This record gives sequence, C-alpha cells and structure tokens, in this order.
Amino acid sequence: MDSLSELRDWANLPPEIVELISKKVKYIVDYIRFRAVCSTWRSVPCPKQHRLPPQLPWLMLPYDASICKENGETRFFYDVWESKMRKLYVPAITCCASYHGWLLLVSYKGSEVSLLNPLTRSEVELPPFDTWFDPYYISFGKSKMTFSSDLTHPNCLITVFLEKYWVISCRIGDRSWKRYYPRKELVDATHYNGRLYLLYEGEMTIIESNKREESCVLVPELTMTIVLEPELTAVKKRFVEGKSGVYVVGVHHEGKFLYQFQEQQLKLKKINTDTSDSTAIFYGDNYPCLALSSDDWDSLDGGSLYMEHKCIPNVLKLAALKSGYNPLSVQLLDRNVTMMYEEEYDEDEPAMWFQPSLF
Amino acid sequence: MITLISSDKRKFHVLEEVANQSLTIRDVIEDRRGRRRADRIILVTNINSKIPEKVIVYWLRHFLMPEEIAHASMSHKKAEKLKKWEAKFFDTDIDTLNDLILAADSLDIPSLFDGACEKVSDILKNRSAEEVGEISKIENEFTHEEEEEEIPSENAWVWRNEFA
Repeated sequence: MDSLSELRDWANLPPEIVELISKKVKYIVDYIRFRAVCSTWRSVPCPKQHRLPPQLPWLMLPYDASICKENGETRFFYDVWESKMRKLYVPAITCCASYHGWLLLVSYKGSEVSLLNPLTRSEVELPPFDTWFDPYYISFGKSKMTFSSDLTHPNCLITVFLEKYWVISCRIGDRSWKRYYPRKELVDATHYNGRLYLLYEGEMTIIESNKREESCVLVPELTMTIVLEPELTAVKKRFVEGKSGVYVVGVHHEGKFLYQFQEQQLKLKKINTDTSDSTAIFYGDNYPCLALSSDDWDSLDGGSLYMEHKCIPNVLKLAALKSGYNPLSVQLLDRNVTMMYEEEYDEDEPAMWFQPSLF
Repeated sequence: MITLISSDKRKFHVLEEVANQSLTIRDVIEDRRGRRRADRIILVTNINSKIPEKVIVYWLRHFLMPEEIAHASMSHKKAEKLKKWEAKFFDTDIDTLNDLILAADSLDIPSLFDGACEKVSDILKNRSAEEVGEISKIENEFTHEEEEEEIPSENAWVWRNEFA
C-alpha cells in the first residue's frame, strides 16, 4: 500500500474489523450509537443477543398517571449506568413482569395478554388468561416470567408465575396456557434450563420437565426436594437465574444470603459474599431478580446486591447492600429519581428491573 | 534471527521465537525452512512505519510471558502486572490504534488485535455518534433524510435524556 494516510481512515476499515470492534462494544446503547456514526459502520449487522453479554438493567419506574397524561402511552426507564432517563412507548396496560427485554402486559380482566419489547416495539400475542384469572394476582402478588430459550426459537417456552399458586406456561401460537399445580403455597418459581424450580417456605423442589413430549409442557419426570437452610426460613427469598445456574437469595434488613444450586451434588451451597464473588444481584421486592457477572461489566461490584425498594412514600431508592451501602448507587437515586415522584403513583406497579434487548 | 523490513526501509532484527507470535510470519518462516539465509528477510511494507517498533515491543513483553502460561498458571500478581502494562501500551492516540489493528490483522497476531479492538471500543463507549465521528475523523455522510428521519426515529430514546 502506497498511501499510508489512507490507512488511517476509520470509515474505510475492512468490514470484518469494524464488526470485530463493534462486538467489543457491550452495551446496547453504545451499539446503536456505533451504528449511527457512518454508513460503513452502520452496515455492521445488528447484534444478536447471544453476542452481547446479559445487559445491565434499567429501572422501569412505576406507572404514573400524570406522566402518561402528558406524554401519551409511555413509561420512564432510568438508565443507572449513564444517569439518563429514557422514555419508551408502553401502552397503559398493567405490566406485571419483564424478562430479557420483554414486558408482560396483561389487560385488567386478563383477556388480553401480550409481550412487548419497548425498544423495538415488537409485540407478541399470547393466549388470554381466561376465567381463572383474578386481577388480584397481579395487583397484590408478585409475578415473574422466564423464557426457556431465545424468544425467536419456535419451541421457546414462556413460563409465568403468579403468586402464590399459579405456574403457567405456553408457547407462542398456543391457544391456551398449561398450568402446573403446586402442592402448597409457593414463594417463588422459575423455569431454567428445562427444569422447573419451585420455592416453598422451608424447601425447594426441582422438576425435570419432559423435553421429548412437546405438546405436554410440564410432565414431571424427576422430582427432587431440597430442604432449605434455617437462615432461609422466614426471610424474603427469591430465585435468581444467573449465568452459572439458579441461585436462591435471601434478604433481610441486615444483609443477604446467597445460595447456589449445585447441579452435581443436588444441593444448595452457600456463597460467600466477599469480593471474590463475581455475581451481582438485582433485587426487587415485588418483581423478578436477576444476576449479572461483574466479569462482564466493570461498573458492577461483584458480590453486591442492587436493590430497588420503597423507603418512604413517593421516594424510590436504590441501594446496593454489600457490607453496608454502595454510596454510588444511593447517590444516583437520591439525586435523580426522587424528582419523578412529586405526584402520586400507582402503588400497584412498583419499579422493576428491566434488561434492555433488541431481540 | 529474522529480519523485518518496514515501508521506510528500516530493518528490525528479531528472534524467530519472538516473531513467531505473528501467525503470518510463522507460516512464511515455515514455508522457507531449509533455504538460504537471505530468505529470512520479511518485508512488512504494508504497515505504517512507526508500527513495527511497537509491535516488537509488544512481542517481547508477551514473549516473556507466553499466552499458555498467562491463562493456566500465571500468578495473580503477574497477570495484574501484564494487564497494567497492556493498558499503558494501548494508551495511545486513535490513529496509532488504527495502525496497530491493521498491522495485527495482516500479521495475524490475535492477542494484539483483540487488545487494540478492545481499547477502541472503550474509547467509543458512552459517546454520541457525533463525538465518535469527531474522534475517528469520520465525516457524517448520511443523507439529510436518513439523518432526520430514519436514524433518530429508529431509536429515539438513545439520543435523549428525559430529565428536565
């Protein structure tokens, strides 16, 4: 090559190199900006979810009627990592769970159920909740949702847990939900890696679902029950699905306990929450938790618990508990998010962690 | 010992074991094995003239600490040290990074390539498209319509902060 000045033209980098650099950009927002720089960079294919690490979550703020009046059907999402408030389209329907970038929207009577990705505005219709549904389930109880794989996968199983007795699942295109009947009051439930995990007070049950029989969704094949440690009784506890499996996190006002389910030994192992632990957990009182690895994100503190909880009426606080408080997180919300709550907001829909995704 | 000759005719004498970190050079040496000494001269003219020096520095540092060791048994302290050294090594202007990427690409040096790409992506993080354009001296060549219509509306939320 003769003209070396030509070499330095960033717009003329070979496409495979541009793509490689784009792959090193991990945050979805950075990725979108990257594609807006010039048309060569724009030609980089859109990131498939599996190429990006699990995204840092935003805090989806509670439904606020006054904001909706002014802005139409929108919800605010607080991007803790860039200290920005993001406004996205979400219809004024109860949103009761979120998973990997999708929101579960349920109309008042449960007759209309759908998934919405507020970033892409894609919508997926799900079977209605039918006669058994009582608005109470999502108004006062907690609810959560998991997918067995990428939502675009034709066999992706969508599992929804509605406190305290409802574990239902369906596939896209199904006409109705299939229900699994727990034997007693559930604390939490999740579907992870082909297994159904049920958390009761004092014990936990794992059910291997029959993968061969596709029409029948949850056929118990192998069931095991694990007795929970005494310190996990009588505290708030949730399942957390992380990179390396299922965790049980127990939270009380003095701290947290974290247990990981060990697939080989079939038992729960306590995780020491010192600095060597790379798992950061995002916890919400009413909504699903999620776990991220601090190996993926420099901005995360390993072994810490990022909490969303209401301290005083109309003030939302985010606190990271880790042998004390993480001053950064507390400061973030003291400075910014509290501003949003001059008006009354819907107590039924507290803030929830939302993991942005383009798929 | 092999000799690399850069575009400005400078010569760099490097131990074969060191230069082997470039898979391209390794293949060339392998092809020419058993031939005359003159064949141990390799032209690297497609690389900006300042770069061979930098690449050789990188090789030497990594030669002292081969990749396999880096992963398996390197002590935490040593790994930390190498990390620090790399951070300093890549802490350079964006043009040099561009040249390093292209050099690492043509000489096939995976770790250098990855490291440089990583650094570039770090520079781009948290910056608007305009800022990135300025840093990388890319002129905005979207048509007015694309600029006004398609790009912002596609992901309007990216560009805004709703805090009053």
